[in-house]
Amino acid sequence: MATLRLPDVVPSPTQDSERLRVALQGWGVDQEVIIWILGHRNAVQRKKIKETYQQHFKESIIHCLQSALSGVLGKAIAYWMEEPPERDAKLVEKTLKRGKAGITQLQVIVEIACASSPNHLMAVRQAYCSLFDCSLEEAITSKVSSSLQKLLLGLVSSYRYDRELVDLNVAKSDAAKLHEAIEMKQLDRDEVMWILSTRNFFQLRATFEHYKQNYQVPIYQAIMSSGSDDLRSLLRVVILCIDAPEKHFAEVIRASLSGHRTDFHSLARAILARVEIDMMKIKEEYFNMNKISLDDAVVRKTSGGYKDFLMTLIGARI
Amino acid sequence: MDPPNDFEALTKAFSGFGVDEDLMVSILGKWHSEHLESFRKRTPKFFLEDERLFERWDDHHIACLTKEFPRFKDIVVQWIMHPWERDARLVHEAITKGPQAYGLLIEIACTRSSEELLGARKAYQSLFDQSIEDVASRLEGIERKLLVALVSSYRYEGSRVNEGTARLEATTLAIAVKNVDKKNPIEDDGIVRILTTRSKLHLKAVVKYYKEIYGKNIDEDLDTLMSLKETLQCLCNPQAYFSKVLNDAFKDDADENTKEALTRVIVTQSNVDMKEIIEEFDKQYKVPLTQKIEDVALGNYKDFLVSLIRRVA
Repeated sequence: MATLRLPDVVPSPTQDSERLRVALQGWGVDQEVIIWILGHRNAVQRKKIKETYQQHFKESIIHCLQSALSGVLGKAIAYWMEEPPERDAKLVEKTLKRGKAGITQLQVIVEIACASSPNHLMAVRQAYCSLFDCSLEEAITSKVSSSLQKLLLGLVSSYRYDRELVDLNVAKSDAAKLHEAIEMKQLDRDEVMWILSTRNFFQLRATFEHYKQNYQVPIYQAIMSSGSDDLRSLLRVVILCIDAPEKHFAEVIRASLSGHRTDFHSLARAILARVEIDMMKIKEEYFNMNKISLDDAVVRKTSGGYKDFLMTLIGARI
Repeated sequence: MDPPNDFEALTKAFSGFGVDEDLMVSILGKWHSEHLESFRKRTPKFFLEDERLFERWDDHHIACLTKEFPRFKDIVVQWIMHPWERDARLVHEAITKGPQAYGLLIEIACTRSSEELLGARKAYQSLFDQSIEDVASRLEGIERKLLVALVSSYRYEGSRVNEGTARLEATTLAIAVKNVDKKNPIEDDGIVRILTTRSKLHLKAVVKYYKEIYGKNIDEDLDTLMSLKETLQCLCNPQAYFSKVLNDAFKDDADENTKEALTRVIVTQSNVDMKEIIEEFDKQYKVPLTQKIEDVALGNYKDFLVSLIRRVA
């Protein structure tokens, strides 16, 4: 369930654009107004504001926001205003460009492939081609180590069926095939990749459930017990993103908030990506994991406009 | 009424791609029972003398007519159909037919644009409640890895080519081809990845470098690896591929699957590459495509084919 709160009567994109213009151009940037407006608009509404702002003022609002707002708040709001496919394509490009991408970086790709809709993944692939003059698959090929390439390529190439159609016989046989691969420590088999990449999400959840019932242990635990390497860690992320994305994102948020330095980028990324999808569930998971509410954790570890913006999005601030 | 000529004409009306409806109406429509009896007795090509003393229609020929009469219906229906639905149904047909039809899967996955292939994937989900790659991952045969990856591709279609990488990949292919006895390249992750993720322009560069470095066309070296050969040809030279498919359809010993390609190629390529295919056909086989169609096709089916081609020629 989303935590993004919309006003009962949403102002027109023209009204929003004008108020934002004033907030951006006046004496001292009015952060409050910017957060107040943009923090209470969904993706469709934000897109209309962007288009209207461009039409009226002949400038890109993202550009204006980035100039006017400094630091992590500026980045977060610019990120919030991007079209999700372009946003995610740019995120992947940045991730891969960094070189020596480990699991913490590559999980971004898994999130896009496994924790969002098939249409969104397809849109990211299309955006990637437009923006970077090569396909997402080619980028992964050139930047990701070969042991992880096959799995990631399979995951990003899929265009899964999006209805709830489950075949229990397939669940049974897929669970058996996965079990065999785990037992034989052959997790790089084509079959493993095909099962995880091509089956629809509902089918896979049924398969994972079947696995737990038949083999008395959740599949991701079985994988982690069978050894430890990058492939297994990645597979764990894959399964979590398919089966219980709220757990994965709660983990990502927890990791970004722990340690001396808050990882502002990962925190913003995880929250902004899920605010309109399943933030409430993520907050519940976060509390179960850490015995402290996400709201309190964000308050403790962040400050200023950045904090206000995140709090608005997660519904902790009106 | 001119029985010998009529019989010959009528025999022709039943022997080709499609049937000559007008001729059948103009001749048969006028016959009485004695003409029909005469025709049956004097056309052993279609009728056998049964032991119980009547002329029986040859089962094999009835089976042929069952395929020839609906050719016009098929081409009309396919022509009107949305390209996405058309491709999705072709894919489904190929998957149902099994390994002998994998070439059709390769054809669709490789000759369509990225957006067209995506459209076919969407239509497939609507029509058959599954994704193509899900079904493909359960196909039999060593081509499976290649096929799953081909139907899942969304290739970059811009003009940028990394010449260095293309040259490197030409070498990778050459090594794989040379080691064919140790490992079939079609099961090599690296080879499959090159063929299924690179842009068509990039692969054309790879083919060019292969020729430069090794002095041969890569399809000569891929002669025994039909699926790989077809994949590359569909990606880099679809006109030559379609031209060959058409020529195969015209051969005397062509089976129904091969003959169906005539409808399929003309319909699916009519708004795409038809002009280039016509030119290539002319170059390869020294006879204009329209001429060939006039020779072997009949009736409404022939007229429809010719009018589709004439739109672009």
